[in-house]
Amino acid sequence: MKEEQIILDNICKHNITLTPEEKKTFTQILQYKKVKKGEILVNYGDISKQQYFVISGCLRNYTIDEYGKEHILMFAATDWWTSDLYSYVSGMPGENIIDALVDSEVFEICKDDMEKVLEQVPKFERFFRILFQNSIVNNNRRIKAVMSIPAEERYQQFIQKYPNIYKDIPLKHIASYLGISPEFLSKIRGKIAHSA
Amino acid sequence: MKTRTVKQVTVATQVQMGDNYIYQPFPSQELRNVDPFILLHHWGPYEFPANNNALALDAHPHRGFEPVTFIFDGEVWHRDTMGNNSIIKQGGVQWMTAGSGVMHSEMGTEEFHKKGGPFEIIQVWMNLPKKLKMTTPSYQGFQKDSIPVVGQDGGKVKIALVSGKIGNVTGPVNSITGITSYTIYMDANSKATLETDISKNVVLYLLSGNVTVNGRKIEQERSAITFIDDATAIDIEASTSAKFLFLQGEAIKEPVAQYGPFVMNTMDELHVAFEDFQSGKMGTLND
Repeated sequence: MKEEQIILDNICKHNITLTPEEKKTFTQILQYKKVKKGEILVNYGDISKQQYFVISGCLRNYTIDEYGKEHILMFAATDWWTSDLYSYVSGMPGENIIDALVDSEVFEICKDDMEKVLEQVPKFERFFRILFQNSIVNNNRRIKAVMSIPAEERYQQFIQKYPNIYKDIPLKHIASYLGISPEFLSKIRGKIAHSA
Repeated sequence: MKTRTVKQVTVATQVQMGDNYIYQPFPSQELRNVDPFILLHHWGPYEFPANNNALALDAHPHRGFEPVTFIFDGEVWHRDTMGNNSIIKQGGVQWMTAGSGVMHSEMGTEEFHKKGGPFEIIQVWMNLPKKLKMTTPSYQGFQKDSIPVVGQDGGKVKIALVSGKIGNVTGPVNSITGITSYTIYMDANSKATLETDISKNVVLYLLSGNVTVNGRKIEQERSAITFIDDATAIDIEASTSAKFLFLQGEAIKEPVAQYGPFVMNTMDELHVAFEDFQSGKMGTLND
């Protein structure tokens, strides 16, 4: 199945070589799901026991503040992983919402199945360690960017990070991810277009 | 007179809100809430330049509680789906009972955006008990000149009474849960004594100043002070000019399910609140 090949390629990209038997063990725990635009995979207050891998489309991982404003933590496009990691790790109700920005296809992996595979095949321990390491580095960069990098530069970084989808994501969502108003982002885009 | 023992002093943490930092003593890890008060946001003091974008909280919903804004400096333009369109200036209050659900916006005024100036507000979320969560929404806005002032210490202390009673003086806001709320302005080297109801929870928030509360020196401004229910009086001594917000209410003692702009009793009720908002049941606020 070509969808399975996409996730196996993702593992391979992290310098993990799997035997046919190990591939089979892994693909057996994958739950293929089609998600309609706007459909919620994880809601606030859920105890989230899933990791998601995006085969196609784009998911949005976000919170809503007291004044109803959405704060987008990450976009997960093709070949990205996402979850409410706090809830996944702690078993406590989460605060994140994960929904589909466009019609998407994902693989869902349940925590219990994941734990079994990690125990059976130590290579997957290595894979998810690398994945989470990368995620920590990414998050640290994102925190630093929000604290100390001007919005225009943050937008340039965003384009580099999401080269295949930034044109398809509505402006208001990109502004939410960058922590600025849509009006301000419009100005930045105008300035960049003007100077190009 | 015996004074009410200080239980906890919680310094506000800084939270980024759009282009500004605001201060939040609760909810926090140290102080989850002071039932029935579930959130306190202190905005400012800021000095906004001309052509600013002060307070840009465009249309958003609320249900299940009362968001109340005390305006210490600047002005706030409130609009809501009940048809209210109200600009309240320095010293005034905007008291909204969100109840069953309402959309509102809270913005700086056009004039303030153009001219700039000092700006400082506090928003408090006052919880509603289960029996009032779906009450009909309402809005009460009062300017400074309709809020009575009670003096102490020969006029060196001014207490502006928003809701509840002090002696025979009554605040203009009708609180459906019996909240007493007032702001306190103290000159340097002044003393105040506040009378509280021993059966109710009290939180005293210090905006600014060097003060001692019931003999305890408050080390930092932007601190929320809570008390044990062992007496009624609170004695304050201010060595510099000082500014407080006083809140007193009866504990609701019900489960709280809060996410985003809604405060309900259960997760199911929260999900319904989001569905009702998304399906337009809380109305639409046009620009």
